[in-house]
Amino acid sequence: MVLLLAMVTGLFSCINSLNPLITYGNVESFDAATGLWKDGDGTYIKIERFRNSSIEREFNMQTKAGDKNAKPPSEEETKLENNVYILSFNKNNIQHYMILSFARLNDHLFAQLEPLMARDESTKMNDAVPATQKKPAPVNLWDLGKDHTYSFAKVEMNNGQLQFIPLDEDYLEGLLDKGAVAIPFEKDDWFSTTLITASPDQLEKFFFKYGSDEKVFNKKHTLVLKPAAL
Amino acid sequence: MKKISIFVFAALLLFMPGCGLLTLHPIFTPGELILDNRLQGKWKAGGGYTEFEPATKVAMDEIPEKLRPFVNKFYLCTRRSDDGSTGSRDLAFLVKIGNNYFIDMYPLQTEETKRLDEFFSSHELKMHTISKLEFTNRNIKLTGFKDNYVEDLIKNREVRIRHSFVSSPDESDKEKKIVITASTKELQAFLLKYGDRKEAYDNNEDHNTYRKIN
Repeated sequence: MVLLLAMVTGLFSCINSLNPLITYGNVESFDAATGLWKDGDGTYIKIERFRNSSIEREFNMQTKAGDKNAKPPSEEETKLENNVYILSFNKNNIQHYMILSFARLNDHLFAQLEPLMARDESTKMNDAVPATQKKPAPVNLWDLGKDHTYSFAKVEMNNGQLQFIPLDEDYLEGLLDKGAVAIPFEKDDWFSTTLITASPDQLEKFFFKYGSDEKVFNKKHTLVLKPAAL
Repeated sequence: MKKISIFVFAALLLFMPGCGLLTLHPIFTPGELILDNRLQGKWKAGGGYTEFEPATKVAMDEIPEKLRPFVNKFYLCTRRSDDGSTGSRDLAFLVKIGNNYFIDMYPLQTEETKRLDEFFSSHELKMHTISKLEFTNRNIKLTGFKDNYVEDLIKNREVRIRHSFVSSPDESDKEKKIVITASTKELQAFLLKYGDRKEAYDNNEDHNTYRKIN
């Protein structure tokens, strides 16, 4: 449960953003992140390139049967698809898929996560079901394109371990409340929600400026992923 | 085969039409909430059922902490399909603005989506869905704004209401999506102004009319 448990306990920033930091303009590949990883609780996390992933194959199958008049991918979309990764893990018998992308700003590597799909694997029939019986598709609990936000972390690779240093939620919220950082956000006290509404350009400037700030990216919250083998 | 990008595919689905007015902030403060006995109960509409019950039926940890003292002043709204499966659960807040009633629906998780990883589901963009509520004999009408009505007002500079443009990673969508970020006060002023404008609302009777079952 590498990212998972850490995520659940809020170690990866809970202040999310309406807009992405990483776009086709600054996306970079980071193949050192690919592979199978494991957290302290033994949950496996798989990171693979979107290209040649099962998600890409499945998506191609879907679009094959879909809109025949759809435009082919633009140069920007192709660049993104060539450089983003699929992060997947299983929890509660649900297979979760997220899009993971990287960008280097001011010599720091940053990661961006957004949810892609979540499937209830328990709805699948096992392989012993006769071939004549049609297998039901797993139920999607999160569909592609559902309104979503983005989360970010600084990334470091140390001794073969992949480390995510998230935004320090409390510290950042304090800065936002005091107006100490010039970044647009929306806060709703009744529903206890804070959402960064900065544009990608404004986010890039923020990360460029605060990437080295150890109060904003507090190492005490570091999430460590260790290489794993099945 | 014509291949399209996964990012385009996602953008096509994002902010699908038919949602009415979606806002980041609520249209009420707790002191303005009202209860109306006519709303409570089970209703039939379209291809399913909608039930309004006291919000005290919701587990307390599902209700935002600062709203818990006011739990007697709002509802749980559950939508089910004809086969009984739960489609959605929302907290429903009823307010009167000018001469009109409005309902502010805020999404809760269903039994199925509660199983999602917490970090994963924390990426959901939770927004308030605003509808106008009318009581007519034994029926109610829940009417949302017409698709793109508010967006068009904003784009044509016919209304000043705070909003944010949403980018996608491919930045290919020249017509950027809009999220309404107006404060509660601004939203109330907007609803006061547009509450009686028939042309603003989706007037599909079949879709909007809820018939009481019990």
